[in-house]
Amino acid sequence: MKSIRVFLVTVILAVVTLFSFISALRGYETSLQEVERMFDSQLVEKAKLIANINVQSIVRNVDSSDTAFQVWQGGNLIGSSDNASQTILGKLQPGFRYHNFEGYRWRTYSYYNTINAQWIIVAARQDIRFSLAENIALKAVLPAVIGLPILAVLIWIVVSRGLHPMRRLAHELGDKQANDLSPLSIAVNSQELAQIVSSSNDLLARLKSSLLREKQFASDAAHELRTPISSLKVQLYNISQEQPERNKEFGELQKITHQLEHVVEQILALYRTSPDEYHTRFEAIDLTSLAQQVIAEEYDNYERKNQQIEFFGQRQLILGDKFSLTTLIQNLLSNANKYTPNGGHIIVKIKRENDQVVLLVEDSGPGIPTYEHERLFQRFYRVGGDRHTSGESGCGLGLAIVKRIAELYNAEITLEPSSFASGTAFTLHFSAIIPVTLDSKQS
Amino acid sequence: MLPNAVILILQETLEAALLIGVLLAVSTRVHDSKRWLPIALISGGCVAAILANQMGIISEWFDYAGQELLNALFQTIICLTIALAVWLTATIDPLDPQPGKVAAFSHCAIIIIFCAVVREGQEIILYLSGFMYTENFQKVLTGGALGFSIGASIGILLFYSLVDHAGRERRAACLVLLALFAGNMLSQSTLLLMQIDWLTQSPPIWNTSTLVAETSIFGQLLYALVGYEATPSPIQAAAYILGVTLVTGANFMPRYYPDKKKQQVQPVRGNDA
Repeated sequence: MKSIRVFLVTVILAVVTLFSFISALRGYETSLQEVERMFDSQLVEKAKLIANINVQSIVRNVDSSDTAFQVWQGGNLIGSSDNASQTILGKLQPGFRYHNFEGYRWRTYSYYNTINAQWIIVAARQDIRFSLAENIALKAVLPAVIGLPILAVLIWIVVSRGLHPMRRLAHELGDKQANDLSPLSIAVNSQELAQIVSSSNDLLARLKSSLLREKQFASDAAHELRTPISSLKVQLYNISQEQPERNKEFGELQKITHQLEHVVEQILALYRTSPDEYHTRFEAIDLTSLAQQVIAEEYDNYERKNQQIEFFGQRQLILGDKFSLTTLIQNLLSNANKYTPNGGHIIVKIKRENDQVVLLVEDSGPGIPTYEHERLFQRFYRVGGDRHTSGESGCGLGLAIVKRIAELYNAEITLEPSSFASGTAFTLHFSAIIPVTLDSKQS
Repeated sequence: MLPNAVILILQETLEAALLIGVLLAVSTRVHDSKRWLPIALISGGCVAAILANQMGIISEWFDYAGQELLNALFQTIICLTIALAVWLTATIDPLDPQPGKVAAFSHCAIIIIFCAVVREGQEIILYLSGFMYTENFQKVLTGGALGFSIGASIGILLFYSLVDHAGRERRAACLVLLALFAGNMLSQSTLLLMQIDWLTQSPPIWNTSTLVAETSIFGQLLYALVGYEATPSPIQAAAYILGVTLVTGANFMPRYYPDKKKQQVQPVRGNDA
């Protein structure tokens, strides 16, 4: 259900239409039967009137040709209307029946006058009776049909009016910034929405407190861990120099220590880039030269895996700070380096699209299933979870950091399949500041 | 006059409305854009108007069997396309819908609704145009509006009641309705072929007209929903069973012959730098 309003209007209208129209049809049938009964009683009245005036000749039917009558006495036709036949219309038995003559179907009523011992048969054309009855019954149905569009508009207005506070609430929630955890200030009168607003405010308060605790913990833990890790690294180096015969064991220890340091650095980077803690003054940064610099620094990693990295770009300036942008590019490139197999390809492109600078990093890795895209940027999330089989070490923070930095720049991140047979392309759109045309290509 | 118009237009509208309702519910499952609906309705309406206008010529084709043959063709196409659409939905993974298969489903939906609208639409236009310049036109039009609105309302309620249910239940309900609808289409097409003596007529295998009359509103609803026939011939019954089997088979076939590409283990990668 995409829209509650459309759902309510269509379902209410469908239910109202169904019941009112079926009722109208029942009403139509009942009206038809009532009008038929009324016409029948008219026939009875006419028969009694003719019996009272004692007709004994053929008289001209002054009323219309849709009624006819006969007066029979002792098996002889002693009087009739000029449009009636000379044979008996129906039977000489009291009651209603149908009879065909003059090419029409007639409703007849036979009445026996005991005073004169006469049979009076009155007939009315059935087609005209039915048409009149249907016209009367139709008038009862028409308002329901004509009123349907008006009813639809009224239901639309009423439902829209009823949902107005909900739309206001949705707007207020939609307008909130990602880092805005302040309580909702909307004033609502309805009980249902008041409960939602109250519950949302409680939730926001708990979330704010929880995030603060998490940030504080991450920050404290990272700071507290940095110093002992540095000491540990120095001590390990010293011992390894003293005992060169145990280089293999020390090498493993150094590798684990390096990994530990990496996790701590990543946690610190994540903390530093929190929007509410981010007070760095932005300056004009050449994203192209920054990306080249990062690639040059990390080149050993690509060489180690025999990967081919290509860079295409123009000089492009954006407003930002060097540290956060370097971290962003490092994380994207490190991710590509880790999950692209030996001998694979990585392409980095920086280009201008209208008033935006686009950073594209694509690889020939195994690719990421679409259903994983949303969770990919969550902290400590690794694709495949416990079944992660890439063999690469990691803590699941890299892309969370990328996303956090992108949010600081209001840059949109998109994930698509790469231009290789398999792999992923990460694209980030930044706002450009100065138009430049200097082209460069490095490989 | 009015009840006749209600019954006839309700019968035509109900079939299309139920089909649209079920297909919309199915398309919600496969995350289809539903753009096929206006395309099929508009193009079907236009073609229905053209066919109704040319029906005099069409009915003279094949020794005055043109109209019946055309309708039988549309019904057979609807039945086969429903089977194809059901097969596609059975192979589409709702969590990771393949764009190619979703697009193929949209094309199937266009064909089904287009054929249904052309078939029902031309009959409605022919019926209404027969009363165009008579004094009964207002009554027929009012009856038509009543029949159309009742049919459309039932279609809307069916759609929302299907969408309201969880994935498995909705899928089962949609499958049952589509299978019965396909059986109904194939059964109706054999009836038309019997009317023009392309198939041999035979006495009905049962008669339930005293139990539920085909002309009653309930009978019409049953006819549109499950293809109710009070006096079906053996060929009609066989065609009905064939249509139902075709759609049911199309749904279960991917279980026994799964997509080999999907069986391959997806490689994984981390989010870590």
